Amino acid sequence: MNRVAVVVAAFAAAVLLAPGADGSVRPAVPAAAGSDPSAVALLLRAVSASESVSYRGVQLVSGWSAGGPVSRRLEIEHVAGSGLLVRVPSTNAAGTSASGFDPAPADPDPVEPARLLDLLTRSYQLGRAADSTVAGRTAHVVEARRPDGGVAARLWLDTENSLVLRREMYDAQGRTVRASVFLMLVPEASPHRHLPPVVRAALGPELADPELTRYRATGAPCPATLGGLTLVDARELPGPSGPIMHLTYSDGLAAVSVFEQAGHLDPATPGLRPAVVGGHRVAAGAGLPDQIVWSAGGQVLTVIGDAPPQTLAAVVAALPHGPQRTGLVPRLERGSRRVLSWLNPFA
Amino acid sequence: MTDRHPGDLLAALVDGLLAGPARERVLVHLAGCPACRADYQQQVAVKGLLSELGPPAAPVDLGARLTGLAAAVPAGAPGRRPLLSRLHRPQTPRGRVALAGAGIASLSLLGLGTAYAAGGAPDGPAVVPAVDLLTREHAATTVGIPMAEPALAPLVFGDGSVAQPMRLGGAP
Repeated sequence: MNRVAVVVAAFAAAVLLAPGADGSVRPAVPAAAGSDPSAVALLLRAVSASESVSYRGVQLVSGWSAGGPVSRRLEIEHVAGSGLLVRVPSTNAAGTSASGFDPAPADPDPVEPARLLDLLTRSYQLGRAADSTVAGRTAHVVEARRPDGGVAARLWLDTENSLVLRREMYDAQGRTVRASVFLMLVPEASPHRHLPPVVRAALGPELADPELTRYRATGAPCPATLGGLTLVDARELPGPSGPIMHLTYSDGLAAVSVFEQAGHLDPATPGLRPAVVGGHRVAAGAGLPDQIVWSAGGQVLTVIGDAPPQTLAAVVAALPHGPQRTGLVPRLERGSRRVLSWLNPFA
Repeated sequence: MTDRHPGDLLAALVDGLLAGPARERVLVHLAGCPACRADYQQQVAVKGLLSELGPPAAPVDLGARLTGLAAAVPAGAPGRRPLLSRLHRPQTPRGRVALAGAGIASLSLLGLGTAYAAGGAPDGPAVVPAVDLLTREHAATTVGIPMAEPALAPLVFGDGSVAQPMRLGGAP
């Protein structure tokens, strides 16, 4: 929820809040041809509200993952400036509840808002639909349409405080592939409860173009576009067996992360089960966002995404895959590659 | 494990590099998977062939031939090539072809043996990806993207179990 607001706010702020020469508020970046400026303005307010409005509520999040349809009912409490407290009530055998705390991010805009805005308005046309009601609250409705006119996503924004009450993402056939909705929402002007101390998670260092060029030169997969999404962020994380490359791809609406680390996938990795995604055999986690893992060419690839299944399948299919090759010939091929790399480590 | 083929771990088993629970899992899989069992047996057979090759044995009459050659060469004869060079160079075209063929075959066998040995272990270390941590990293990086979900994983209960999503029926 807060992510949604931040998203929208990021691009909306960049577009609408830049002051003009006369001190007026006008768009710094023109919206895409055909986009409704009022829709962009609503998204801007929603982004701001996600950070500045405190609230508590019950939210239902559902989607279609590699393992099938999944859903979570969440009890959410957001305190502006501190973060988001999430509880999952009574889903284990003991009937107890689970909770997680998502602190406000250290870097509120890891991906440049202007970059997201550019991607969003290049890929979609923003517009408005008739106002509606969610959880007993009236809402403005903003739509993102594909070039063919089909609706890719729809957001319901509270008319009073601009919070995102409901959001849905659709595939090319118009089927809902991801959705979240507040079943109950109570804005709180002065929250009485304190969330856990904020421990802001630090992201890995962002990589510049020369570093990406060197990384590509090693033969590692690092394309500028992947499954119709564009590379918007690249970082390096420390890992137990070496650095982990984190590549983020987006079209301004959905996002997919690709993590690459040296080695081969341990078949005893817990929490994963066999699945077929994009025509390839992989291991998949059960939950949202989608978690897909496999190894190929001496690298373990982990794809995590908030995207329609078709987009996710295209991303997985576009990355390297090695069939489970056993036997004499694959072993000789693998050994030949290694011997050659010993003779010429710079090859 | 029984429904997942061991892949490169099979080669590691053949080479005796597998131990502990991983070895047990592969053995359990072999017990129930004829295809992997056949693959394993093939690799064991090839490894046995390669290990039986060993270094080439010297001819039994090599000593006598060397002694005879030494006696036949006059001491201090001018223009004579070193003894070993003459020994290894056949005097007839057919012999040279045979020697070249043997050399190529030996090098090929040596290359295959080296490649076989070098290709035994899987690429790189075995990795257990920290999917939950990577999911958080994903959420933190995609904070500005409209349809990105909050970082909900991992949600851990008081008894240590991890919250599982509810399963829904039907297709989208």
